[in-house]
Amino acid sequence: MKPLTFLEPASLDEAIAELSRGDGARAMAGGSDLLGELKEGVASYDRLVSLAHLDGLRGIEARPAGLRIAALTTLTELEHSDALEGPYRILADAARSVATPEIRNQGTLGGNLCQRPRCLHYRHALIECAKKGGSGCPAAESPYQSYLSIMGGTGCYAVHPSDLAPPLIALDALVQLRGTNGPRELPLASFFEGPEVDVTREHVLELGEVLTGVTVPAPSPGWRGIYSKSRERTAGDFAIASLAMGFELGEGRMHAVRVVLGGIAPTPLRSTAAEATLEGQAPSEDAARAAAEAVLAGATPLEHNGFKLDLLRTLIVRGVERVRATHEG
Amino acid sequence: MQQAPELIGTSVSRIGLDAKVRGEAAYTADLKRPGMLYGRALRSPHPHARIRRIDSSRALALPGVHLVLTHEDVPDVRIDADLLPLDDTVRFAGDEVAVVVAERPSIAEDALALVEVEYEVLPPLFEAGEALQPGAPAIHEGGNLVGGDVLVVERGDAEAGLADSARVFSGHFHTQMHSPAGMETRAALAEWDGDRVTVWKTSRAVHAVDRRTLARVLEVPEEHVRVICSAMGGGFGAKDESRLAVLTALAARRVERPVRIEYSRVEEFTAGRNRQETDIDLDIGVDEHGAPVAVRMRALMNAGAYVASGMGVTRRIGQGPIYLYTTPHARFEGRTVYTNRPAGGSFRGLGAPLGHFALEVVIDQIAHNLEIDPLDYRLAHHVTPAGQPGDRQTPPDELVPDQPVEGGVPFSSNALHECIEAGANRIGWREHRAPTGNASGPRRRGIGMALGNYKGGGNVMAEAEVRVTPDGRVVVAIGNVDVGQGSETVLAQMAAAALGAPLDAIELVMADTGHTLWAHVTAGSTTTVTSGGAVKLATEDALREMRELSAGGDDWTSLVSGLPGEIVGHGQMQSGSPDAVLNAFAAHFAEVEVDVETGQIRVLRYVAAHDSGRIINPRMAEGQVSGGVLQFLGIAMREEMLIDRATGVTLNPGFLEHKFTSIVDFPAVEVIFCGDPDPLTPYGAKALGEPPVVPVFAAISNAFANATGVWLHEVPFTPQRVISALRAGGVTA
Repeated sequence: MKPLTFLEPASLDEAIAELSRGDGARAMAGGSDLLGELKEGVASYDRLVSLAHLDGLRGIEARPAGLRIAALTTLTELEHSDALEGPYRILADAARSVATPEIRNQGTLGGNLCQRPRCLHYRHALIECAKKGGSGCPAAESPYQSYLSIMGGTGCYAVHPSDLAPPLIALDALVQLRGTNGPRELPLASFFEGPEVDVTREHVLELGEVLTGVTVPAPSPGWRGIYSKSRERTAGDFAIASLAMGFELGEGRMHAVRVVLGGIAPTPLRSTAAEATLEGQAPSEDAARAAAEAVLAGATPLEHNGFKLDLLRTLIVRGVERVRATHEG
Repeated sequence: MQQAPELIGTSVSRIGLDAKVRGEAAYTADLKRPGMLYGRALRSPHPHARIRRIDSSRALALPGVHLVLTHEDVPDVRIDADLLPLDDTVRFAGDEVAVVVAERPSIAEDALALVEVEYEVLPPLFEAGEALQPGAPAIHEGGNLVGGDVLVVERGDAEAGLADSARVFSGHFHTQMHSPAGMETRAALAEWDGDRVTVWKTSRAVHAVDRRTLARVLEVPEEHVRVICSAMGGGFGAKDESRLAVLTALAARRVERPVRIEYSRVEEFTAGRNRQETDIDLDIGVDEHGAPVAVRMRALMNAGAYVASGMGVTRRIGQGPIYLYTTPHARFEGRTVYTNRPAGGSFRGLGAPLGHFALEVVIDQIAHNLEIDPLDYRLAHHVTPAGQPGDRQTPPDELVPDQPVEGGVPFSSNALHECIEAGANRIGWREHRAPTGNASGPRRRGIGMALGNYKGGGNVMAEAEVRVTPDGRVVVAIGNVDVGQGSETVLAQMAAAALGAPLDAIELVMADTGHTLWAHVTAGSTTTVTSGGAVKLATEDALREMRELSAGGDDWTSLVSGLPGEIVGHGQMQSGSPDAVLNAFAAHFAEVEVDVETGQIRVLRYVAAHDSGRIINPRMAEGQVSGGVLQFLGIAMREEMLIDRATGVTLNPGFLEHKFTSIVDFPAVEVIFCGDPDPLTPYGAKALGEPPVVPVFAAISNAFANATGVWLHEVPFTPQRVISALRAGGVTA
């Protein structure tokens, strides 16, 4: 691992100033992803700018207008927060599905949204690929494609690994960023960008910009959601495919339907087609199957990950039933 | 404190456990010597290349760097037939190129990047089939088929038997490459004193492998080499090779200071020794009544870059097929093939779990096709205490092999029938198991079973020494290592029982060539049976002398009080028999729930019934069985080393993506011990360390088939493979 300078700025402005000085700097929160990348020689930075001790970047505030979750809130705090009940319960469930208790103690919301892909080829220092600034996508030619996109890729089939992004997008979350030009806010769904924009990154953060938190506008009190994660083992595994789904039930019909998928596309994927299929329908297996087909219609699996279509279909079909059951309490 | 003879068969607490739990046990990488330097290996980025030139000058210029050892600096003496300490050819991505020695580990690490190596890249081969093609580049002189020939063992005439069969059932099976990955990574520490060297090392064979190899390659007499394994953090069949020790000792000799090398986790995965990927074809012919008459198995094993113990692994693939079912004709053909993958080696059970996987799935399919309950089929045809039909081949006065081929020799004990019945009763086979293919819905339950036979822990030689002091202390010295299975405790129980001494009087000295007599590799589940036999003989020898010296009274206190000085007892045990086959047996039963939409398999119950003769320490024995079952359930479900077919690199050298199972995904294992004490062995014990891993893959595949009507033929049973097998078998979501 290359020698580097570890900085602990006293304020967020100081951190932003350090980060904006050049591309050799990188913000660090819990470090659970970043240190692995550095040690494995996948990434290299001259300066790590720790945000870990900054005040005001931690905690969950629940107000009538909605939630504010600061970026350094740990996944453990999300998992156990009393504020994440009712419509927000989906966030605690998603947090609980991440990695292991040790990682959740260290990992933060901001880090979870900004972590790099888990593509095996990207994660190996000896393999050249477009995401690492080289060329080509060797993963697309490999037999090991469980963790790759089935929704296409523009030069890169890595998927975004975040478990928090799909439920936050389902809750119409906004993300707050702050950089040298001050704060800005955008829908979390627009925070992520696929390889067609810039294959070496997964988000829109500009040089010096820091993700400071997310806000979740208060959903209708009757909205309920679930997070489902297909994985090979219960603890310490990333999603092969995941689903955040929720809706209100009014007179037996689904409204405010949200269907957001993880692990299947370069970015978290909201399927408005599936939502439209379900909207106004009674929750039923037929409706759920139609929604699944609406998602799958756009799928273009690789040679060795067609099985993810089955997983995705099952997630959606069972998801409708799970949300319905959640409404019943 | 308990006294003999109740000690045998009692679950005394494990010796040394508190030191391990407290972190006080000193493993090799915990050891430090005055002036010690730290080594790191420079590893090849290419799967196959010739080294044209190495320029160490920039690395040597880094302050704190003492040495860069390259192939030009090491003796041209082979560690194994296919392995030099360092070579001008590298054969897998991760192969050793050089060793850097520095004041601190971080300096050694930094210096690696400063060693300039010019490679001539050679074409790599990753698949065994590809490596056997005519014209394939030779990875070693002599070609890619290890040993130059097919390994064949045969009883009767399997070709003729198959031709005469009423029906032949066949299957193709695949098992993956995976890593043992003990929690302790490999390490070695070498310190020279003149022309004598002491090497501390993670080792299962301080005598039989390390000291011999070190003496030969370092070109010093064996008595100048002392090898010690202070504590072992997981063996699982690995850590029996000497390249790391040789390089550490060579480096220490050059710098004239102690040197320690510790593998990183990535190195442990890539440069440790792994389970070899294997393809198996099996044909079983049955007569008009369905009885097996001929078994033929062909195995193709991808040995990786260096074969290590791979030929033994291949041979053991054949053991179940040759011997588990009564049949006049049985033939095993094994091909062991060099490729440019990381090197294979020994792993718990060697090839036995692989061969049993194929065998026990096809047996299940035969029963299914013949519309016979697979439990009844196995009860009718498993090998009996009488052994196999046919004529004995071993001369009458010679020990019969414990991996037998011949017929005409009985077992010393064989409680396989009792194991099957006890396990079937426990899982509720007759009451709960539905006919195969009857289940419906997204989540389907099924019950399956599989049998296993394995070497019984004999056919090796062991020596032990016992010293009794006048103050009543007993030091038992034996050259094997406690790999973590608890042999220290079991051997202490045996010594205390034989002497009538309290257990806390016993102290074990193990795995130190300076203080123990020669010992075989701690392998093949032999410690309790054979090393235990030597300990028993040595203690009995000491006891004889104590009785001669005793003024009267045969109790421990009286015997000790009569001692004028320290006495030494010696025992040597050559285990095995000219009259009988010593084998251990197992019958495993699994109940699973298969989600046919997601490809997930959940193991709901697992029952393991074992004939390992007399059980010396029941709680530790149950731990061995449940640990072995859980280890192989993990391998069955999700562990695999993924090798990139373009670059040859190991894509997942870590615990995150080489997916070891954590406890939340495991069932409780119900362990049953059957059978009587074996008449041949000390205290009647038989092998226990490896037999629990042997039937696991097949038990799951057969339970899966009972649930779905489809058998899984490829390990691991990941959602991807499960969904693919279900859809190919016509089971839709």
